[in-house]
Order: sequence, then structure tokens, then C-alpha cells
Amino acid sequence: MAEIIVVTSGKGGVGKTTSSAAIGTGLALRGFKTVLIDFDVGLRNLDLIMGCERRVVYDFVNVINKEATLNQALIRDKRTENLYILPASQTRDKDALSVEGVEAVLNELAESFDYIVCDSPAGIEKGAQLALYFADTAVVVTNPEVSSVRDSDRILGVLQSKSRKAEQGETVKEHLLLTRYSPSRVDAGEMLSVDDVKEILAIPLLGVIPESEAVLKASNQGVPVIMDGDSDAGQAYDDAIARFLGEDREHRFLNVERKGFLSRVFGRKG
Amino acid sequence: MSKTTPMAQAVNQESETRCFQFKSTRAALNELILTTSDTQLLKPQLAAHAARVPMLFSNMPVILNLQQLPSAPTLEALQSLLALCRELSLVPVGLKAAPESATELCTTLQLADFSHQRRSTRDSEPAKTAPEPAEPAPAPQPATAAAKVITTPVRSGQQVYARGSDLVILAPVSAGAEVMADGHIHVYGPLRGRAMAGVNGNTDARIFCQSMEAELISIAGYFKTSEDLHAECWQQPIQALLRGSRLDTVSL
Repeated sequence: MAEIIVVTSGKGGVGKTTSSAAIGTGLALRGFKTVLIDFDVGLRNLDLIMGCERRVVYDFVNVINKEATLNQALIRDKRTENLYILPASQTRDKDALSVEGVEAVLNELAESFDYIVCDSPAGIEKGAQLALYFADTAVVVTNPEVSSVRDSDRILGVLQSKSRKAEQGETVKEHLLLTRYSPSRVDAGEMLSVDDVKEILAIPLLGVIPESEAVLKASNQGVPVIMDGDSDAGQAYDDAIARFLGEDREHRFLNVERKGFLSRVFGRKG
Repeated sequence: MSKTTPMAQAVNQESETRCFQFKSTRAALNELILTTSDTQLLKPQLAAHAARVPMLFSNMPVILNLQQLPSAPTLEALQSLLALCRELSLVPVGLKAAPESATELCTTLQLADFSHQRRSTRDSEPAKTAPEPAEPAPAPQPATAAAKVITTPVRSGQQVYARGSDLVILAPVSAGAEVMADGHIHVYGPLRGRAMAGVNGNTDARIFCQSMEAELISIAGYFKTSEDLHAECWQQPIQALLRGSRLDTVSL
């Protein structure tokens, strides 16, 4: 039986899709058969981040409406074995999704996959609620700023009251993924620290992804940032996946790096 | 598709949107036990009581208990009793009367019949009040139901209300969350949202918390915002209570 992971945040633009792509790819790289589902119907982005936008023929809504089979709509990732993408429809809206339709698709996927990663749209309305409804585990993506933290708090409330697990009296497992973290700005008092966010949200920390130029580059090139093993963000995502799978890894990139003499002279970026 | 069977079931379950649901609920109901049906005698006493605890009388549902009356009242007398209750902002919802007459009275007056609520027969007079000690007396005390205990964080946007009882929270209350109780509120995590104790007008209710970081606290309608709290007791373990019409914070 597959584990269903929802990547959610409440607030938009905090890095849900980037994180979904990294988590999906990371799990597949470790040999788990993984499918990434884009729940952001109408604002299809995951295919761009994954670099498969030119291969989209059928989408999630087509499968729900039985206009295509799941096998026709699933896109096999060219770089990573075991990784599949189910893109969202760009021409429809969130009303095209239904609880029964989503459940049927997830049930069919669960038969052959180890992990189903649901990339949630922003907000707390229907689209976001459907993305998290069937989740076993939630990765809550948060930026170190007050509005993002409050929205994450809100979505955690929705998770524990409106998901199927909650309705059955169980709990959805929660993970905090803090993205766009900048230790120097934390030191300057311009940004919430990891401890501040942990204190407010009171859920276990899965990882801290540093603010990195590698993320934007990776997005624009359509390569998940976790594939960029030289970048700090790529390494941080890799750590997060390891922790997700139960490995004990120390958190990195939490403090300002002291630049060595050579890097100061040559201006190499971290 | 191969999944037609489970899907059809799912569709059936979900597409039939139900228009109603019956759920058992425990509402705090007070009983107004009358020893006279003389409205002239009753009115000043009841009005004086209402003046003392106006919040309690604001549309409080009550059951009129006629079983202690020396003689069964006439329909007219009963109607004027009901009118008096309504005048004083009580909402009579039902009657407790002699079982022989209760059904007819309730049908005529369109009230619920509570006469058969107790297991003991009418004949065993002393047993009448004894078997149900949980039944609140018609005094202005709130019902003493067991406190509601919450062990998971109360998140932004969530509301928790302990109706007719105290509220105990063993987790953080986030900014943007609301916790309310008719009795006291205890918060053992940081209190960052809104806390309202004694919402039914109980001025004896208090708020206790380990770390006061609330957006707003209120007792029986008297409130303080985070602006005041910042100056007084921010992030301190405190209790809040009413002294007259002043909401005071006292460190624990």
C-alpha cells in the first residue's frame, strides 16, 4: 500500500512545487516507485519544474473524467527511474476535481506505487482540501516569515480536522520543511529563526532549505534542485529525504558560513 | 476501468447529500422550580434576580417545573407565568408537570414535555430530586459538567467551546485561534490566540495560562487586548479574573 504525502503550506509562493519535485525525485532516487501529482488545476507548474511540459498529453482531470486511462496520463521521468508525474489541467479549475474522482485515481495508483506525492495548491479552499484529504503524511512548507507561519498553522488545523484520517479519528503525520532560510538575515533580526518557527508550529522539523540561487536556476531549467548535488539547497533536500526515511542527520546550513580566505579572494558562492 | 465497483460505492456515499442529521447533544438546561403560580408574588423576586445576573437571563432556555406547586395552575395562570418569563428574557422550552395533565398542557402551549424525564415515579416524592444530582438548580451557577480537555494544538482558525463547563488545553493555542468556555479556561501551552471565559455571563470565571501571549482575553464580556497585556504580563504565567468591572491579571 502506498504512502500518500501531501506537500502543502496555505500560503502561495513558499516553495511547495519545488519541494514536491525534490521530495518525489529524492524518494525515486532511493529506489522507491514514486508518483508526483499536481493538484494545482488551472495553474499547472509541476511539469515545468520537472522539465516534462512538452510531453503532457492527458492530465489529472482527464483521468478523473475517464477521458484517458491513468497509464496514458502518467509521464515517466526521463532522468530518474521509478519516477512518474501526473500533471494538472491548465484549462480547467479546481471544481473539476471531486472526492470520488480523486479517491479512485489514488486507489489505482496505490496498487503499484510506494509513494504518492500530492503537490497542493495554495489556499485552504477546495483544491487544497482535496489535495490533503487522503494524505497519510503532510510536509508543511513554511518560509521564515510571520504570514507564512500563520498560514501553515491554519493548514495544520485543516489537516487535523478535515482530512480522512481526522474523520476516522486518526492523525496525519506532520513534518515541517522550512524553506528560503537565510542565516545572515536571521542574525540581523530580519527573519524568524528555526527555533521561532518550531516554537509556534510545534511540529517536528524535517529540514531547513537555505535561500539559494540554485533553486531558481533549477526551476528555470526544469531540473529538480535535489539533482544538483553541489548546491546547498540540493544537499539540504537530500538530508530532508534521508530524515523522512528515518535516517538521523544533523541539520546543516543553519548558521552563517565563515568565508575562507580563498573564497573571499575569488568570491566563490556557497 | 477496473475500479468500477469501489468507485460506484464511493459515488453513492458521497453524491447523496443528506439534508439533516440527528445527533445526541447535551445542552445545559436550567429548571425554574416554582413554588407559587402567583405572578404578582413571583415577578419582583424574579426581576431582582435578573437584575443581579443580567447575562444569565439573556435568552436562557429554561424548563418550568410545576411539580412543587400546591395546586395545578389553570391554563390562564400558566400563560401569564410564561409571559412573565419571556418578559424577563427567559426562553421557556418545556414543562415538568403532573404526568396526567402534562401532555395536554404541552400540546396546547407548544412546549416540550419533560415530566417523564426521571425514572422515579411521581409517588416517591423525596426521591424526586435525589437521583439526578447533576441537574442544575435554578441558581445562577453554571452547570458543573466535566471539564473539556484538549490535548492537541488549537490552530489558527479553529474554535473550541466548552459549553457549560471548564476548558483545559494541554497544548499551544495559536494566534488566530479562539478558545471559549462557560467556566474557567486553563492553558498549559503558550496562549497566543483569543480566550473567552464565562461566555454565558459567569463573572466568577477565570483564565489561567503558562505563557500569556494572547490577542485578546475576556471574562463575561469584559476584555483586554494584547496591547494591554504586552504592558502587564507578556509571556508570564498568569491568571485573569474579574474584580467588579475590571479585568485583572495576576501572576501565578
